[in-house]
Amino acid sequence: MNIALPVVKSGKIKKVRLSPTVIIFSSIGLILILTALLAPWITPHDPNVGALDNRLLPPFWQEGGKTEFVFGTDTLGRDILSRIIFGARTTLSVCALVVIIAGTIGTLLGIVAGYTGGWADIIIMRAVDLVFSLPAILLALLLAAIFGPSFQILVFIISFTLWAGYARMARAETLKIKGLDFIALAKIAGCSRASIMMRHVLPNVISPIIILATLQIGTIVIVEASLSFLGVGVPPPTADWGSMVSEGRSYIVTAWWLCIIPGFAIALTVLTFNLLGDVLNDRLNPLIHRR
Amino acid sequence: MQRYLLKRIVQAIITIFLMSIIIFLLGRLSGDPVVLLLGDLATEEEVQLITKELGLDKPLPVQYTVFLTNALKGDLGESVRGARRPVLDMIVERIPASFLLAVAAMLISIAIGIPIGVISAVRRGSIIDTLGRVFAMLGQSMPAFWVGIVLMYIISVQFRWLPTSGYGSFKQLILPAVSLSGISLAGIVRLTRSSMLDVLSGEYIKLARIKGLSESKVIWKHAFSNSLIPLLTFLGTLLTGLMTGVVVIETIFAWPGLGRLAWEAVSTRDFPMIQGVVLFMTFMFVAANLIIDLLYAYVDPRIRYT
Repeated sequence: MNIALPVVKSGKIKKVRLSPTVIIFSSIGLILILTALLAPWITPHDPNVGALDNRLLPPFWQEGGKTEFVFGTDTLGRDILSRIIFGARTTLSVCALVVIIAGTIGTLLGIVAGYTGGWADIIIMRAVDLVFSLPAILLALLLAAIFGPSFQILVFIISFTLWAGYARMARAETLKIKGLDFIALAKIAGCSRASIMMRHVLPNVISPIIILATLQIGTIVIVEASLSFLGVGVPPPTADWGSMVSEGRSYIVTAWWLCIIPGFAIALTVLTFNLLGDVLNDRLNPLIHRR
Repeated sequence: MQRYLLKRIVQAIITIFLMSIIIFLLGRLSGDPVVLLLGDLATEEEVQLITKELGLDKPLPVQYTVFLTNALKGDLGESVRGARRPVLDMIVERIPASFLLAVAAMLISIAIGIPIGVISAVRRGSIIDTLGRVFAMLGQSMPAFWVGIVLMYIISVQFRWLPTSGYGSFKQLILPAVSLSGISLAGIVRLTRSSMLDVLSGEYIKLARIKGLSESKVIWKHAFSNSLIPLLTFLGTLLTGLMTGVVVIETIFAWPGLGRLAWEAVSTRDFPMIQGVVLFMTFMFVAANLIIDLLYAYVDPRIRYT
Protein backbone atom coordinates (compact mmCIF):
# COMPACT_ATOMS: atom_id res chain seq x y z
CA MET A 1 0.00 0.00 0.00
CA ASN A 2 1.04 3.55 -0.52
CA ILE A 3 1.11 6.29 2.01
CA ALA A 4 2.36 9.80 1.58
CA LEU A 5 6.09 10.26 1.81
CA PRO A 6 6.83 13.25 3.99
CA VAL A 7 10.27 14.66 3.53
CA VAL A 8 11.72 16.14 6.69
CA LYS A 9 12.90 19.63 5.89
CA SER A 10 16.33 20.11 7.40
CA GLY A 11 15.90 23.87 7.17
CA LYS A 12 15.07 26.44 4.58
CA ILE A 13 17.30 26.33 1.57
CA LYS A 14 18.93 29.71 1.37
CA LYS A 15 18.09 31.77 -1.64
CA VAL A 16 20.81 31.06 -4.13
CA ARG A 17 22.93 34.12 -4.71
CA LEU A 18 25.48 33.46 -7.41
CA SER A 19 28.85 34.93 -6.63
CA PRO A 20 31.33 35.33 -9.52
CA THR A 21 33.43 32.46 -8.13
CA VAL A 22 30.45 30.13 -8.16
CA ILE A 23 29.56 31.11 -11.73
CA ILE A 24 33.12 30.66 -12.95
CA PHE A 25 33.65 27.28 -11.29
CA SER A 26 30.22 25.94 -12.23
CA SER A 27 31.04 26.79 -15.84
CA ILE A 28 34.42 25.07 -15.58
CA GLY A 29 32.73 22.01 -14.07
CA LEU A 30 30.17 21.98 -16.85
CA ILE A 31 32.87 22.36 -19.50
CA LEU A 32 34.84 19.49 -17.96
CA ILE A 33 31.82 17.19 -18.02
CA LEU A 34 30.91 18.19 -21.58
CA THR A 35 34.53 17.68 -22.67
CA ALA A 36 34.49 14.18 -21.23
CA LEU A 37 31.16 13.33 -22.86
CA LEU A 38 31.99 14.78 -26.26
CA ALA A 39 35.67 13.74 -26.35
CA PRO A 40 35.64 11.77 -29.64
CA TRP A 41 33.96 14.65 -31.51
CA ILE A 42 36.00 17.57 -30.26
CA THR A 43 39.56 16.27 -30.24
CA PRO A 44 41.67 17.71 -33.06
CA HIS A 45 43.76 14.53 -33.36
CA ASP A 46 43.62 10.83 -32.47
CA PRO A 47 44.81 10.65 -28.83
CA ASN A 48 46.56 7.32 -29.30
CA VAL A 49 48.15 7.75 -32.71
CA GLY A 50 51.11 10.03 -33.33
CA ALA A 51 53.64 10.61 -36.04
CA LEU A 52 57.25 10.30 -34.94
CA ASP A 53 58.17 13.28 -37.17
CA ASN A 54 56.12 15.37 -34.79
CA ARG A 55 57.58 14.07 -31.56
CA LEU A 56 58.23 16.46 -28.65
CA LEU A 57 56.86 19.58 -30.32
CA PRO A 58 56.48 22.41 -27.77
CA PRO A 59 53.17 24.27 -27.25
CA PHE A 60 52.28 26.70 -30.03
CA TRP A 61 53.43 29.83 -28.17
CA GLN A 62 56.96 28.54 -27.88
CA GLU A 63 59.59 28.61 -30.57
CA GLY A 64 59.26 25.57 -32.83
CA GLY A 65 55.63 24.92 -31.83
CA LYS A 66 52.88 24.43 -34.37
CA THR A 67 49.38 25.89 -34.03
CA GLU A 68 48.12 22.48 -35.13
CA PHE A 69 49.26 21.07 -31.77
CA VAL A 70 48.10 23.65 -29.22
CA PHE A 71 49.77 22.07 -26.20
CA GLY A 72 52.55 20.34 -28.17
CA THR A 73 53.16 16.63 -28.60
CA ASP A 74 54.61 13.82 -26.49
CA THR A 75 57.48 11.38 -27.05
CA LEU A 76 55.46 9.37 -29.56
CA GLY A 77 54.24 12.46 -31.39
CA ARG A 78 50.74 12.26 -29.96
CA ASP A 79 48.77 15.49 -29.52
CA ILE A 80 48.78 16.56 -25.85
CA LEU A 81 45.49 18.48 -26.09
CA SER A 82 43.67 15.44 -27.49
CA ARG A 83 45.12 13.26 -24.75
CA ILE A 84 44.08 15.80 -22.11
CA ILE A 85 40.53 15.76 -23.49
CA PHE A 86 40.37 11.96 -23.48
CA GLY A 87 42.03 11.99 -20.05
CA ALA A 88 39.06 14.00 -18.76
CA ARG A 89 36.90 11.15 -19.99
CA THR A 90 39.00 8.53 -18.16
CA THR A 91 39.12 10.50 -14.91
CA LEU A 92 35.46 11.47 -14.86
CA SER A 93 34.29 7.95 -15.72
CA VAL A 94 36.31 6.63 -12.78
CA CYS A 95 34.70 9.30 -10.58
CA ALA A 96 31.18 8.54 -11.81
CA LEU A 97 31.56 4.79 -11.39
CA VAL A 98 33.14 5.08 -7.94
CA VAL A 99 30.48 7.50 -6.70
CA ILE A 100 27.71 5.23 -8.01
CA ILE A 101 29.20 1.99 -6.69
CA ALA A 102 30.56 3.22 -3.35
CA GLY A 103 27.61 5.58 -2.83
CA THR A 104 24.94 2.94 -3.45
CA ILE A 105 26.57 0.16 -1.45
CA GLY A 106 27.63 2.47 1.37
CA THR A 107 24.27 4.23 1.67
CA LEU A 108 22.25 1.02 1.63
CA LEU A 109 24.47 -0.68 4.21
CA GLY A 110 24.42 2.45 6.37
CA ILE A 111 20.61 2.61 6.32
CA VAL A 112 20.34 -1.10 7.13
CA ALA A 113 22.83 -0.72 9.99
CA GLY A 114 21.06 2.32 11.39
CA TYR A 115 17.50 1.12 10.95
CA THR A 116 17.74 -2.54 11.94
CA GLY A 117 20.46 -2.18 14.57
CA GLY A 118 21.59 -5.31 16.39
CA TRP A 119 24.05 -7.69 14.77
CA ALA A 120 23.74 -6.20 11.30
CA ASP A 121 24.75 -2.87 12.78
CA ILE A 122 27.73 -4.34 14.64
CA ILE A 123 29.03 -6.29 11.65
CA ILE A 124 28.61 -3.44 9.16
CA MET A 125 30.21 -0.86 11.44
CA ARG A 126 33.16 -3.15 12.21
CA ALA A 127 33.69 -3.53 8.47
CA VAL A 128 33.56 0.27 8.15
CA ASP A 129 36.22 0.64 10.86
CA LEU A 130 38.35 -1.96 9.11
CA VAL A 131 38.19 -0.16 5.78
CA PHE A 132 39.07 3.15 7.43
CA SER A 133 42.18 1.55 8.85
CA LEU A 134 43.49 0.24 5.52
CA PRO A 135 45.44 2.61 3.31
CA ALA A 136 44.14 2.42 -0.29
CA ILE A 137 47.58 2.75 -1.78
CA LEU A 138 48.82 -0.52 -0.27
CA LEU A 139 45.80 -2.43 -1.51
CA ALA A 140 46.28 -0.93 -4.95
CA LEU A 141 49.94 -1.93 -5.10
CA LEU A 142 49.08 -5.45 -4.00
CA LEU A 143 46.24 -5.95 -6.49
CA ALA A 144 48.14 -4.33 -9.35
CA ALA A 145 51.09 -6.62 -8.71
CA ILE A 146 48.85 -9.67 -8.93
CA PHE A 147 46.38 -8.89 -11.69
CA GLY A 148 48.29 -6.20 -13.52
CA PRO A 149 46.92 -2.67 -13.74
CA SER A 150 43.42 -2.35 -15.17
CA PHE A 151 40.53 0.09 -15.24
CA GLN A 152 38.17 -2.31 -13.44
CA ILE A 153 40.59 -2.98 -10.61
CA LEU A 154 41.21 0.73 -10.21
CA VAL A 155 37.47 1.42 -9.86
CA PHE A 156 37.14 -1.52 -7.46
CA ILE A 157 40.00 -0.36 -5.20
CA ILE A 158 38.80 3.23 -4.94
CA SER A 159 35.18 2.15 -4.38
CA PHE A 160 36.31 -0.34 -1.77
CA THR A 161 38.07 2.35 0.24
CA LEU A 162 35.32 4.97 -0.07
CA TRP A 163 32.03 3.13 0.58
CA ALA A 164 32.68 3.26 4.33
CA GLY A 165 32.30 7.05 4.43
CA TYR A 166 28.82 6.84 2.91
CA ALA A 167 27.87 4.03 5.29
CA ARG A 168 28.90 6.05 8.33
CA MET A 169 26.98 9.11 7.18
CA ALA A 170 23.83 7.20 6.09
CA ARG A 171 23.76 5.39 9.45
CA ALA A 172 24.05 8.62 11.43
CA GLU A 173 21.29 10.27 9.37
CA THR A 174 19.06 7.22 9.70
CA LEU A 175 19.44 7.23 13.48
CA LYS A 176 18.33 10.87 13.50
CA ILE A 177 14.98 10.20 11.79
CA LYS A 178 14.35 6.65 12.98
CA GLY A 179 12.24 7.72 15.96
CA LEU A 180 10.11 10.28 14.10
CA ASP A 181 6.35 9.91 13.76
CA PHE A 182 6.09 9.23 10.07
CA ILE A 183 8.25 6.11 10.40
CA ALA A 184 6.01 4.85 13.19
CA LEU A 185 2.95 5.62 11.03
CA ALA A 186 4.40 3.68 8.12
CA LYS A 187 4.95 0.75 10.44
CA ILE A 188 1.36 0.89 11.69
CA ALA A 189 0.16 1.13 8.10
CA GLY A 190 1.83 -2.23 7.57
CA CYS A 191 4.81 -1.27 5.43
CA SER A 192 7.53 -3.88 5.36
CA ARG A 193 10.97 -3.08 6.76
CA ALA A 194 12.49 -2.99 3.32
CA SER A 195 9.84 -0.64 2.03
CA ILE A 196 10.25 1.69 5.01
CA MET A 197 14.00 1.83 4.44
CA MET A 198 13.74 2.39 0.70
CA ARG A 199 10.69 4.66 0.49
CA HIS A 200 10.76 6.53 3.78
CA VAL A 201 14.29 6.58 5.13
CA LEU A 202 16.30 6.84 1.92
CA PRO A 203 14.68 10.04 0.57
CA ASN A 204 15.38 11.74 3.88
CA VAL A 205 19.05 10.85 4.14
CA ILE A 206 19.95 11.49 0.53
CA SER A 207 20.93 15.16 0.60
CA PRO A 208 23.99 14.89 2.90
CA ILE A 209 25.00 11.85 0.83
CA ILE A 210 24.93 13.96 -2.34
CA ILE A 211 27.07 16.62 -0.65
CA LEU A 212 29.55 13.97 0.44
CA ALA A 213 29.68 12.59 -3.10
CA THR A 214 30.49 16.03 -4.54
CA LEU A 215 33.15 16.64 -1.91
CA GLN A 216 34.69 13.24 -2.64
CA ILE A 217 35.14 13.76 -6.38
CA GLY A 218 38.31 15.76 -5.74
CA THR A 219 39.74 12.96 -3.61
CA ILE A 220 38.87 10.38 -6.26
CA VAL A 221 40.60 12.40 -8.98
CA ILE A 222 43.78 12.70 -6.88
CA VAL A 223 43.85 9.03 -5.86
CA GLU A 224 43.16 7.93 -9.44
CA ALA A 225 45.92 10.16 -10.79
CA SER A 226 48.40 9.06 -8.09
CA LEU A 227 47.79 5.37 -8.77
CA SER A 228 48.07 5.83 -12.53
CA PHE A 229 51.21 7.88 -11.96
CA LEU A 230 52.72 4.93 -10.09
CA GLY A 231 51.76 2.62 -12.96
CA VAL A 232 49.12 0.73 -10.97
CA GLY A 233 46.08 2.57 -12.31
CA VAL A 234 44.82 2.92 -15.85
CA PRO A 235 47.20 0.98 -18.13
CA PRO A 236 48.67 2.56 -21.28
CA PRO A 237 47.90 3.51 -24.01
CA THR A 238 44.64 4.88 -22.56
CA ALA A 239 44.97 8.63 -22.16
CA ASP A 240 45.12 9.42 -18.46
CA TRP A 241 46.40 12.53 -16.69
CA GLY A 242 48.34 10.65 -14.03
CA SER A 243 50.06 8.40 -16.57
CA MET A 244 50.83 11.44 -18.76
CA VAL A 245 52.66 13.14 -15.88
CA SER A 246 54.51 9.89 -15.23
CA GLU A 247 55.54 9.48 -18.87
CA GLY A 248 56.68 13.09 -19.08
CA ARG A 249 58.69 12.95 -15.88
CA SER A 250 62.00 11.91 -17.41
CA TYR A 251 61.72 14.70 -20.01
CA ILE A 252 61.21 17.46 -17.46
CA VAL A 253 64.48 19.19 -18.41
CA THR A 254 63.92 19.27 -22.17
CA ALA A 255 60.13 19.14 -22.51
CA TRP A 256 58.34 20.68 -19.50
CA TRP A 257 54.89 20.62 -21.15
CA LEU A 258 54.67 16.83 -21.02
CA CYS A 259 53.99 16.76 -17.31
CA ILE A 260 53.16 20.35 -16.33
CA ILE A 261 50.05 20.60 -18.54
CA PRO A 262 48.33 17.33 -17.46
CA GLY A 263 49.16 18.17 -13.84
CA PHE A 264 47.46 21.50 -14.30
CA ALA A 265 44.38 19.70 -15.63
CA ILE A 266 44.28 17.55 -12.48
CA ALA A 267 44.66 20.54 -10.17
CA LEU A 268 41.95 22.52 -11.98
CA THR A 269 39.50 19.60 -11.86
CA VAL A 270 40.08 18.96 -8.17
CA LEU A 271 39.85 22.66 -7.32
CA THR A 272 36.59 22.98 -9.26
CA PHE A 273 34.84 20.05 -7.60
CA ASN A 274 36.15 20.92 -4.13
CA LEU A 275 34.84 24.46 -4.45
CA LEU A 276 31.47 23.36 -5.81
CA GLY A 277 31.21 20.77 -3.03
CA ASP A 278 31.88 23.47 -0.44
CA VAL A 279 29.26 25.77 -1.94
CA LEU A 280 26.70 22.96 -2.06
CA ASN A 281 27.55 22.11 1.53
CA ASP A 282 26.94 25.70 2.63
CA ARG A 283 23.66 25.95 0.74
CA LEU A 284 22.07 22.59 1.50
CA ASN A 285 23.39 21.91 4.93
CA PRO A 286 22.53 24.82 7.17
CA LEU A 287 23.30 22.78 10.28
CA ILE A 288 26.99 22.77 9.60
CA HIS A 289 27.92 26.37 9.20
CA ARG A 290 31.41 26.69 7.94
CA ARG A 291 33.14 29.85 8.98
CA MET B 1 40.18 3.83 30.41
CA GLN B 2 41.45 0.27 30.71
CA ARG B 3 38.37 -1.18 29.04
CA TYR B 4 38.68 1.28 26.19
CA LEU B 5 42.38 0.54 25.85
CA LEU B 6 41.71 -3.18 25.67
CA LYS B 7 38.91 -2.75 23.15
CA ARG B 8 41.06 -0.66 20.82
CA ILE B 9 44.03 -3.04 21.04
CA VAL B 10 41.82 -6.05 20.22
CA GLN B 11 40.36 -4.13 17.26
CA ALA B 12 43.83 -3.31 15.97
CA ILE B 13 44.92 -6.93 16.23
CA ILE B 14 41.82 -8.08 14.33
CA THR B 15 42.53 -5.57 11.57
CA ILE B 16 46.09 -6.78 11.14
CA PHE B 17 44.93 -10.40 11.30
CA LEU B 18 42.31 -9.87 8.57
CA MET B 19 44.80 -7.98 6.42
CA SER B 20 47.27 -10.86 6.76
CA ILE B 21 44.60 -13.27 5.52
CA ILE B 22 43.83 -11.00 2.55
CA ILE B 23 47.53 -10.68 1.73
CA PHE B 24 48.04 -14.42 2.04
CA LEU B 25 45.08 -15.36 -0.16
CA LEU B 26 45.98 -12.77 -2.78
CA GLY B 27 49.49 -14.18 -2.76
CA ARG B 28 48.13 -17.63 -3.63
CA LEU B 29 46.07 -16.09 -6.43
CA SER B 30 49.11 -14.46 -7.94
CA GLY B 31 50.15 -17.64 -9.67
CA ASP B 32 52.21 -20.64 -8.66
CA PRO B 33 55.06 -19.57 -6.35
CA VAL B 34 57.04 -22.59 -7.51
CA VAL B 35 57.00 -21.46 -11.13
CA LEU B 36 57.90 -17.97 -9.94
CA LEU B 37 60.90 -19.39 -8.10
CA LEU B 38 62.14 -21.97 -10.61
CA GLY B 39 61.11 -20.43 -13.89
CA ASP B 40 59.35 -22.24 -16.74
CA LEU B 41 62.22 -24.62 -17.53
CA ALA B 42 62.06 -26.70 -14.33
CA THR B 43 61.43 -30.45 -14.57
CA GLU B 44 58.41 -32.16 -13.07
CA GLU B 45 60.47 -33.66 -10.22
CA GLU B 46 62.02 -30.35 -9.29
CA VAL B 47 58.57 -28.76 -9.15
CA GLN B 48 57.25 -31.53 -6.90
CA LEU B 49 60.28 -31.36 -4.64
CA ILE B 50 59.99 -27.61 -4.13
CA THR B 51 56.22 -27.81 -3.71
CA LYS B 52 56.75 -30.26 -0.88
CA GLU B 53 59.63 -28.26 0.58
CA LEU B 54 57.55 -25.05 0.67
CA GLY B 55 54.58 -26.93 2.11
CA LEU B 56 52.38 -25.98 -0.83
CA ASP B 57 50.83 -29.46 -0.99
CA LYS B 58 49.10 -28.90 2.34
CA PRO B 59 45.58 -27.40 2.66
CA LEU B 60 45.26 -23.60 2.68
CA PRO B 61 44.50 -23.10 6.41
CA VAL B 62 47.66 -25.04 7.28
CA GLN B 63 49.67 -22.98 4.80
CA TYR B 64 48.23 -19.82 6.31
CA THR B 65 49.19 -20.89 9.84
CA VAL B 66 52.75 -21.45 8.66
CA PHE B 67 52.76 -18.06 6.90
CA LEU B 68 51.47 -16.31 10.03
CA THR B 69 53.83 -18.00 12.51
CA ASN B 70 56.77 -17.23 10.24
CA ALA B 71 55.67 -13.62 9.91
CA LEU B 72 55.35 -13.33 13.69
CA LYS B 73 58.86 -14.70 14.04
CA GLY B 74 60.02 -12.03 11.61
CA ASP B 75 60.43 -14.34 8.65
CA LEU B 76 58.69 -12.72 5.68
CA GLY B 77 60.35 -14.88 3.06
CA GLU B 78 63.00 -13.97 0.55
CA SER B 79 63.01 -11.57 -2.36
CA VAL B 80 62.87 -13.41 -5.68
CA ARG B 81 64.90 -10.70 -7.41
CA GLY B 82 68.56 -9.74 -7.21
CA ALA B 83 70.51 -11.32 -4.38
CA ARG B 84 67.40 -13.05 -2.94
CA ARG B 85 67.88 -11.45 0.43
CA PRO B 86 65.42 -11.85 3.31
CA VAL B 87 62.49 -9.46 2.88
CA LEU B 88 62.58 -8.27 6.48
CA ASP B 89 66.25 -7.22 6.26
CA MET B 90 65.52 -5.13 3.19
CA ILE B 91 62.51 -3.54 4.88
CA VAL B 92 64.45 -2.69 8.04
CA GLU B 93 67.16 -0.99 5.97
CA ARG B 94 64.58 1.31 4.41
CA ILE B 95 62.85 2.43 7.62
CA PRO B 96 65.20 5.28 8.65
CA ALA B 97 64.88 7.07 5.30
CA SER B 98 61.05 6.95 5.31
CA PHE B 99 60.91 7.95 8.96
CA LEU B 100 63.20 10.93 8.38
CA LEU B 101 61.13 12.09 5.41
CA ALA B 102 57.78 11.71 7.17
CA VAL B 103 58.97 13.51 10.32
CA ALA B 104 60.52 16.36 8.33
CA ALA B 105 57.31 16.77 6.32
CA MET B 106 55.15 16.77 9.46
CA LEU B 107 57.39 19.35 11.15
CA ILE B 108 57.21 21.63 8.12
CA SER B 109 53.43 21.44 7.84
CA ILE B 110 52.95 21.99 11.57
CA ALA B 111 55.45 24.86 11.72
CA ILE B 112 53.74 26.66 8.83
CA GLY B 113 50.16 25.42 9.11
CA ILE B 114 49.43 26.13 12.78
CA PRO B 115 50.56 29.78 12.87
CA ILE B 116 48.66 30.52 9.64
CA GLY B 117 45.55 28.80 11.02
CA VAL B 118 45.74 30.67 14.35
CA ILE B 119 46.33 34.07 12.76
CA SER B 120 43.50 33.46 10.27
CA ALA B 121 41.11 32.75 13.14
CA VAL B 122 42.22 35.68 15.29
CA ARG B 123 42.18 38.14 12.43
CA ARG B 124 39.13 36.76 10.71
CA GLY B 125 38.43 38.36 7.34
CA SER B 126 41.87 39.98 7.11
CA ILE B 127 44.18 39.65 4.14
CA ILE B 128 46.10 36.86 5.88
CA ASP B 129 42.84 34.96 6.42
CA THR B 130 41.79 35.28 2.78
CA LEU B 131 45.25 34.38 1.50
CA GLY B 132 45.39 31.44 3.90
CA ARG B 133 42.08 30.10 2.63
CA VAL B 134 43.04 30.48 -1.03
CA PHE B 135 46.37 28.85 -0.25
CA ALA B 136 44.68 25.93 1.55
CA MET B 137 42.19 25.46 -1.28
CA LEU B 138 44.97 25.40 -3.88
CA GLY B 139 47.11 23.12 -1.73
CA GLN B 140 44.32 20.58 -1.46
CA SER B 141 43.82 20.56 -5.20
CA MET B 142 47.33 19.74 -6.32
CA PRO B 143 48.46 16.12 -6.36
CA ALA B 144 51.69 15.56 -4.38
CA PHE B 145 53.53 13.97 -7.26
CA TRP B 146 52.88 16.98 -9.45
CA VAL B 147 53.97 19.46 -6.76
CA GLY B 148 57.15 17.42 -6.41
CA ILE B 149 57.89 17.50 -10.12
CA VAL B 150 57.12 21.22 -10.45
CA LEU B 151 59.35 22.08 -7.48
CA MET B 152 62.08 19.89 -8.91
CA TYR B 153 61.75 21.64 -12.27
CA ILE B 154 61.83 25.19 -10.86
CA ILE B 155 64.30 24.84 -8.02
CA SER B 156 66.65 22.12 -9.19
CA VAL B 157 66.52 22.38 -12.97
CA GLN B 158 65.98 26.10 -13.59
CA PHE B 159 67.79 27.67 -10.65
CA ARG B 160 70.04 24.80 -9.65
CA TRP B 161 69.67 25.62 -5.96
CA LEU B 162 69.14 22.08 -4.75
CA PRO B 163 69.96 18.60 -6.05
CA THR B 164 67.15 16.92 -8.03
CA SER B 165 67.12 13.66 -6.11
CA GLY B 166 69.06 11.23 -3.96
CA TYR B 167 69.60 10.61 -0.28
CA GLY B 168 72.25 11.43 2.28
CA SER B 169 72.55 15.19 2.71
CA PHE B 170 70.29 17.83 4.24
CA LYS B 171 69.99 19.57 0.87
CA GLN B 172 68.56 16.43 -0.65
CA LEU B 173 65.93 16.23 2.09
CA ILE B 174 64.43 19.68 1.50
CA LEU B 175 62.52 19.15 -1.75
CA PRO B 176 60.91 15.78 -0.95
CA ALA B 177 59.97 16.96 2.55
CA VAL B 178 58.41 20.19 1.28
CA SER B 179 56.44 18.34 -1.44
CA LEU B 180 55.20 15.81 1.09
CA SER B 181 54.22 18.48 3.63
CA GLY B 182 51.87 20.01 1.07
CA ILE B 183 49.46 17.11 1.56
CA SER B 184 48.86 17.84 5.22
CA LEU B 185 49.44 21.59 5.23
CA ALA B 186 46.08 22.61 3.77
CA GLY B 187 44.19 20.37 6.17
CA ILE B 188 46.11 21.66 9.19
CA VAL B 189 45.44 25.31 8.27
CA ARG B 190 41.69 24.72 7.80
CA LEU B 191 41.30 22.67 10.93
CA THR B 192 43.36 24.95 13.19
CA ARG B 193 41.35 27.91 11.97
CA SER B 194 37.92 26.37 12.55
CA SER B 195 38.77 24.88 15.91
CA MET B 196 40.37 28.15 17.07
CA LEU B 197 37.17 29.99 16.06
CA ASP B 198 35.11 27.55 18.14
CA VAL B 199 37.36 27.96 21.14
CA LEU B 200 37.62 31.76 20.90
CA SER B 201 33.86 32.15 21.32
CA GLY B 202 33.95 30.25 24.64
CA GLU B 203 33.13 31.80 28.00
CA TYR B 204 36.50 31.10 29.55
CA ILE B 205 38.21 33.14 26.86
CA LYS B 206 35.99 36.08 27.81
CA LEU B 207 36.94 35.49 31.43
CA ALA B 208 40.63 35.38 30.59
CA ARG B 209 40.27 38.71 28.79
CA ILE B 210 38.29 40.23 31.69
CA LYS B 211 41.01 39.08 34.06
CA GLY B 212 43.24 41.39 32.06
CA LEU B 213 45.58 38.83 30.57
CA SER B 214 47.60 39.97 27.62
CA GLU B 215 46.11 39.15 24.24
CA SER B 216 49.01 36.87 23.27
CA LYS B 217 48.59 34.92 26.50
CA VAL B 218 44.84 34.56 25.91
CA ILE B 219 45.39 33.32 22.37
CA TRP B 220 48.34 31.01 22.76
CA LYS B 221 47.94 29.70 26.28
CA HIS B 222 44.17 29.53 26.75
CA ALA B 223 42.69 29.29 23.29
CA PHE B 224 45.35 27.48 21.32
CA SER B 225 46.01 24.67 23.76
CA ASN B 226 42.29 23.82 23.75
CA SER B 227 42.00 23.98 19.99
CA LEU B 228 44.59 21.23 19.68
CA ILE B 229 42.17 18.42 20.54
CA PRO B 230 40.26 18.31 17.22
CA LEU B 231 43.61 18.54 15.48
CA LEU B 232 44.56 15.23 17.05
CA THR B 233 41.69 13.35 15.38
CA PHE B 234 42.78 14.80 12.09
CA LEU B 235 46.18 13.10 12.50
CA GLY B 236 44.63 9.74 11.61
CA THR B 237 43.29 11.04 8.30
CA LEU B 238 46.60 12.73 7.74
CA LEU B 239 48.40 9.45 8.09
CA THR B 240 46.53 7.91 5.15
CA GLY B 241 47.48 10.84 2.96
CA LEU B 242 51.03 10.68 4.20
CA MET B 243 51.24 6.98 3.34
CA THR B 244 50.15 7.58 -0.26
CA GLY B 245 52.43 10.61 -0.40
CA VAL B 246 55.43 8.69 0.86
CA VAL B 247 55.12 6.11 -1.93
CA VAL B 248 54.70 8.77 -4.62
CA ILE B 249 57.28 11.27 -3.37
CA GLU B 250 59.94 8.64 -2.68
CA THR B 251 59.47 7.31 -6.19
CA ILE B 252 59.96 10.75 -7.74
CA PHE B 253 62.97 11.81 -5.68
CA ALA B 254 64.72 8.41 -5.69
CA TRP B 255 64.44 8.42 -1.89
CA PRO B 256 65.45 4.97 -0.58
CA GLY B 257 62.50 4.43 1.79
CA LEU B 258 59.70 1.91 2.21
CA GLY B 259 57.47 3.55 -0.37
CA ARG B 260 60.10 3.28 -3.07
CA LEU B 261 60.78 -0.31 -2.02
CA ALA B 262 57.08 -1.12 -2.49
CA TRP B 263 57.04 0.55 -5.90
CA GLU B 264 60.23 -1.22 -6.99
CA ALA B 265 58.77 -4.54 -5.89
CA VAL B 266 55.61 -3.91 -7.92
CA SER B 267 57.51 -2.93 -11.04
CA THR B 268 59.79 -5.99 -10.84
CA ARG B 269 56.87 -8.24 -9.80
CA ASP B 270 58.79 -9.35 -6.73
CA PHE B 271 55.82 -10.87 -4.94
CA PRO B 272 57.27 -11.95 -1.58
CA MET B 273 58.64 -8.43 -1.25
CA ILE B 274 55.29 -6.76 -2.00
CA GLN B 275 53.59 -9.05 0.49
CA GLY B 276 56.17 -8.23 3.13
CA VAL B 277 56.16 -4.47 2.58
CA VAL B 278 52.36 -4.23 2.50
CA LEU B 279 52.04 -6.31 5.66
CA PHE B 280 54.69 -4.25 7.40
CA MET B 281 53.21 -0.91 6.33
CA THR B 282 49.71 -1.99 7.37
CA PHE B 283 51.13 -2.91 10.74
CA MET B 284 52.80 0.49 11.12
CA PHE B 285 49.65 2.25 9.97
CA VAL B 286 47.35 0.40 12.37
CA ALA B 287 49.80 0.89 15.23
CA ALA B 288 50.06 4.62 14.57
CA ASN B 289 46.27 4.94 14.42
CA LEU B 290 45.99 3.08 17.70
CA ILE B 291 48.46 5.44 19.37
CA ILE B 292 46.57 8.48 18.05
CA ASP B 293 43.26 7.11 19.36
CA LEU B 294 44.69 6.36 22.78
CA LEU B 295 46.28 9.80 22.93
CA TYR B 296 42.94 11.32 22.02
CA ALA B 297 41.15 9.34 24.71
CA TYR B 298 43.78 10.47 27.21
CA VAL B 299 43.34 14.13 26.31
CA ASP B 300 39.54 14.06 26.01
CA PRO B 301 37.84 11.99 28.73
CA ARG B 302 34.48 12.00 26.91
CA ILE B 303 35.81 9.44 24.39
CA ARG B 304 36.62 6.80 27.00
CA TYR B 305 33.05 6.31 28.12
CA THR B 306 31.28 5.82 24.85
